[in-house]
Amino acid sequence: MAQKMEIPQKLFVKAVVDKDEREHIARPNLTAFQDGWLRLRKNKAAVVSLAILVVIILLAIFGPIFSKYTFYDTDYAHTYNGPSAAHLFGTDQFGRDQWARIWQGTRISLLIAVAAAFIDLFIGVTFGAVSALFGGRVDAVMQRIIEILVGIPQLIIVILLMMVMPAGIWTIVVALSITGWVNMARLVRAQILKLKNQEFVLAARVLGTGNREIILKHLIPNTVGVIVINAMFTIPSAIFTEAFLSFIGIGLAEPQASLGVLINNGYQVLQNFPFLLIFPAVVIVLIMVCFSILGDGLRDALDPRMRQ
Amino acid sequence: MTDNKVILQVKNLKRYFNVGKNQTLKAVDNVSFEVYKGETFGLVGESGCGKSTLGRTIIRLYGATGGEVRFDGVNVHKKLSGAQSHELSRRMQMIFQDPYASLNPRMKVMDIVAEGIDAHGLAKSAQERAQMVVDLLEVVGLQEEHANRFPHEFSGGQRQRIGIARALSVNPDFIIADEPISALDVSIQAQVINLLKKLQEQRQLTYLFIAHDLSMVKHISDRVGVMYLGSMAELASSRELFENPLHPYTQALLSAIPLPDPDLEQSRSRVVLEGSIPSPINLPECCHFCSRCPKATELCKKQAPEMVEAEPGHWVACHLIQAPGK
Repeated sequence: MAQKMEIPQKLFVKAVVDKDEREHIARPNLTAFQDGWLRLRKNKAAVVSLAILVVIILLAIFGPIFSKYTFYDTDYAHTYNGPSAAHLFGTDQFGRDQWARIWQGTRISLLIAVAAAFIDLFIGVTFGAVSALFGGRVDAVMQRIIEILVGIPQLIIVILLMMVMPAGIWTIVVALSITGWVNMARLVRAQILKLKNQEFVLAARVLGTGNREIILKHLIPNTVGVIVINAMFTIPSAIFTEAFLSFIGIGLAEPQASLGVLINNGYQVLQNFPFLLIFPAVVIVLIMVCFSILGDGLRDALDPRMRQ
Repeated sequence: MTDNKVILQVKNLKRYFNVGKNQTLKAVDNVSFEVYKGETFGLVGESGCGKSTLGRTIIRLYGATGGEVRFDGVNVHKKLSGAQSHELSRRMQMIFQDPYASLNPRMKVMDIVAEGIDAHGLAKSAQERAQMVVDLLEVVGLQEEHANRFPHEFSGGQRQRIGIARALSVNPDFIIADEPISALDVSIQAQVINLLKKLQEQRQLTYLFIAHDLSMVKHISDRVGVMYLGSMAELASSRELFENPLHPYTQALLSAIPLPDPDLEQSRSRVVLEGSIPSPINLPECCHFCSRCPKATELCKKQAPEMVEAEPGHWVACHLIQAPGK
C-alpha cells in the first residue's frame, strides 16, 4: 500500500500560460542556406569529400598553369622517369611531365562531366517535368521516345558520331548527351507524377497560381533531392564513359590528355612502370567516390524535413 | 446571417472517371443543390461517396462531365476569360483535409500564405505583402515570428490554421472546407471549428463544409446534404434532418451516432445496414441504395428516384416518399 500523502490545497498555484508563449517555437530561425550548410557539416564523409574535390578542382584549374612543363612538350632524354623532385609523378614514354598531364587530363574529364551534367539537368528535367505535367497522349509519346533512345546501345551512337564529327571533347559531350538525360527525365517524371496531385499543388491551383509558378515553386524544389543525387551520379559516370571511350581508342587523340587516355597509356606499361597507371587511377577513383558521397550528403542537407 | 440570396447553384452536376475499357466510375451523378449566401452547407456521406470529388469539381480542379455549377450566376465550367477566371479563383477558396500534405514542405510560411497575394497581385510592395501575411497569421492565432518557419515545425492544428490563412489571403466569399478537421485531434478540432465560425461572422463567409463526422456537421451547418454513391439522398435544414430524417439511408446514418449518456447509449436502437457499399463502377440504373435498403421494393431496383420536396425545404430522393399533393 502506498502511503497516502496529504497535499494542502494552498500549495497549488495556478499556472500562468502566456498566450504568446503557447505558440512559440524554440528552435532558432535560420535561412534555408544556413540550415543546409549546418546539416552538411554534420556529415563528416561529405565534408571530407567536398574538401578533396575542391583540392582536385583547384589543381585541375591551376596545376597546368604553375607547372614549368606543358602537357605536350616531349623530352626524349627523360622517358619513363620515376617520380622525382623534378617530375613529381614521373614522365611517360615521350618524356612528358606526368604531373602536368594528369591535371590537364582531370581538367578535360571534369569539363566533359560538368557539360554532361548540365545537359542532363536541362534536357532531362524539362523533358520529365513536361511529360508528367501534361500526361495523357503527350506523356505516352514522350515515354516511347525515351524507350527508343534506351534501346540503342550508346557505343553504337558514339562510333557513328565519330564518323561524322572529329574526335574530341565536344563529340564525346554530344554522344553523352544524346542518351544521358534519359535517366534524369524518368526520375523527374516519377517524382512529379507523385507530387502533382498533392494537396499543396491543388491549393496553388485553387489560388490561381499559373503553371509556370507551380513548376518553379512547387514541383522543382520538391524534386531537388532527386535531381541533385542524380546529377552527382551523372558526373562520375560521364568521367567513366569518357575514360572507357579513350581506353578503347575512340576518345581523345594525342597529344590531348584525359584521365582515360592516361590510364590507357599506363596500362600498356603496367609491369615495368606501374606509377603511370596508379596516379591517374587514384585521381579518377577519388573523383568518382567523392562525388557520390557528396551527392548523398547534399540530398539530406537540402531537405528541410531532415533536420533534428 | 442567411439572406435568401443564392451564391452557388449546382444543377445536375456529373463527374465521371474512365477506369479502363468501357468502365465509368460515376463519382458524382446528377447532383443538384443550392447554397445561400452566408450559410454553412454541410455535406456528409461515407468514404468514397463522392463528397470530395463534388467539392473539387465545384472549385474547377476537375472539369464537369455534365450539368453546371453557377457561382453568383457565372457558369464556372464554361470557357471564361482570363480576368473572369482569375476573379472566380479569388472568390472561391478551399481548405484541405490533410494539414501535412497541403503545405509545401520547401516553402516558408510567409511564402505559403502569400501565394494567393502573389497570384492576384494584391500587394504593391514586399513590405505590404509581409504586413498582409502577418495580419493573416494573427487572424488565425499565429504570430509574426512564425512567418519565417517551415511547415514541418508546426503541429497539425497550427498547420491547418496556416492553410486557413492561405485561403483567406485573397478575401474569398465562399470557402469549400474539404474535411478540414478529420485529420486533427478532437481537442484541436474544436479550436479549428471555432476559428472557422468566428471568421464566418467577421467576414460574412459562406462555407461548403464536407465531413463525415455527423455531430460536428450538426453543430456547424445551417443546412445539410446527405450523399450516397455519388448522388444526393436527402437535403434539409440541419435541425429538420436530424429530427426528422426521411430517407432510409439517413435514418441508418443518424442511428449510428453514439450518445454521450451511457444509459441512453445502451437503449439506443440502431438501424444496421446489411451488406456493404457496392462498387461505384458501372452501376445499373436503379436507386443506388436498393441493395442495402431495408424497405426496398421492386420499383427501387428498376428506376432511380427523383428528388422531391417532401416538406418545405426538405428534399429527399426515395420512391417511398411522395411529394405532398401527389
